[in-house]
Amino acid sequence: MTATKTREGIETVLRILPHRVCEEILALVRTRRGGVSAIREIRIRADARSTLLVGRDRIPLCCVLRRDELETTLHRLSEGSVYAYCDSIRAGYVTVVGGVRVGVCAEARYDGTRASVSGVSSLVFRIPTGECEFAERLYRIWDEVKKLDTGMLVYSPPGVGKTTALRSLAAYIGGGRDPRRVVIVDERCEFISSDYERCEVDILRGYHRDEGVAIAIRTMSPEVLIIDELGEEDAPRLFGTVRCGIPVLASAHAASLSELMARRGLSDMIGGGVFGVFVGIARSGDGYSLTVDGI
Amino acid sequence: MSELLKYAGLFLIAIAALLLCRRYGAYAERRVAETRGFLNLLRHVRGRIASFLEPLPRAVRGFSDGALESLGFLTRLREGEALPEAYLAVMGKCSLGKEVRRLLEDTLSALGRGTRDETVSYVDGRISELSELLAAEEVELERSVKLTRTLICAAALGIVILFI
Repeated sequence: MTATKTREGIETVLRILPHRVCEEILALVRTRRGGVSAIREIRIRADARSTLLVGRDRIPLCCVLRRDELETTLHRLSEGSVYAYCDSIRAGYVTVVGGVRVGVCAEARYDGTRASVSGVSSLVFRIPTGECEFAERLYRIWDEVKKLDTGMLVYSPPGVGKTTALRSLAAYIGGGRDPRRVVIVDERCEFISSDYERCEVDILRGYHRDEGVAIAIRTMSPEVLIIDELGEEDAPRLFGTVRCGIPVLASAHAASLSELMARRGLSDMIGGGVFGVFVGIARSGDGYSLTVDGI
Repeated sequence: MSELLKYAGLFLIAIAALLLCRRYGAYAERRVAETRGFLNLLRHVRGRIASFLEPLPRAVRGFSDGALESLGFLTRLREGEALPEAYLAVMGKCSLGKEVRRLLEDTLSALGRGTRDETVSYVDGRISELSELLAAEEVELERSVKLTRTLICAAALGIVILFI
């Protein structure tokens, strides 16, 4: 993802946000290094203080939004078509153009197992960072993993850059001199087709992970399968389908390898040989550090 | 001379009546075409939602209709304007009847606020209301065509009588 695309993503978000927040944000970042491109997160709240994350600085905003302004923002986010985003809103997020994921914090009411969500209280716009700083290092690790005939699991706490890493890695694997056929199962619609115009990358957008993986294997003949944010609930459903000789590159939330192993669903997949190499991403100073296990 | 002026005056009145009738006929035709266009748009959107659960901007993208095209409504939608805003922007140019206008304004601003089933049944209800209004307009158009024809014949006959 290029800086231009990051900027486009932010500009889309600014068009969606209530006008007064947008104006305040623009006034705040005007004097900062990087301008709007340095925005990493916008967190708006109903009847409470909203905040802006620029680089690593969290800046509180002065204007306090009303609940109806948040409802209107959510309506705009769903392109005026709530019916098309119901499941996604129920799952707690909406993804807008440019792969910007918006977390939706609201009130849920259950009718059996089905939740109805209303009364939005906060929206969190997470702007994907531009190019992944450590993509080349990650690609070199993947090169080693290929020889071991296994899969690779990238883990980190939320917000460190797993999705951005997978995005860049997909371009590396599907591009270059020896491109591989990569299929990405992108349940949250965070990968952008235009990032892979010259690559052997196909994206199954919006599919549930287990269905997407089954379709990818059946119809797309992938050489590498990429799955973003494996959850414990996905693991049992995926376990049967992913063990089919296609290397899997996936990401999951965890701060350490022991935390990762403690998650039963994932540990079953690991024990079953789906993943042989684990790469932990952590922030270190102004950059990132990678911890590799399994090679 | 005064006789000639009288004839000329009568002739002009006949021509003016004829032109007015034709103008009204064209307006009624446009009105029917626009109502039909919006009805077809609702049917198209309903289909895209029911079958593919497409968001509105994408659902309207593949739609085409001559009357709505000449209003500039579809161009606005293609440029990314939302349905209610695009409708409000072209409303001044529309020949739609009062009831149809109100119905469309309500429908387009409320569209997409519910789940798929709610939205589809809402659109279904509005489609049947709009169909009824369209049927009434078509009857009116037929009547106005007949009236125009009668008036043209009467005017022609009047002119012939005047000159005999």
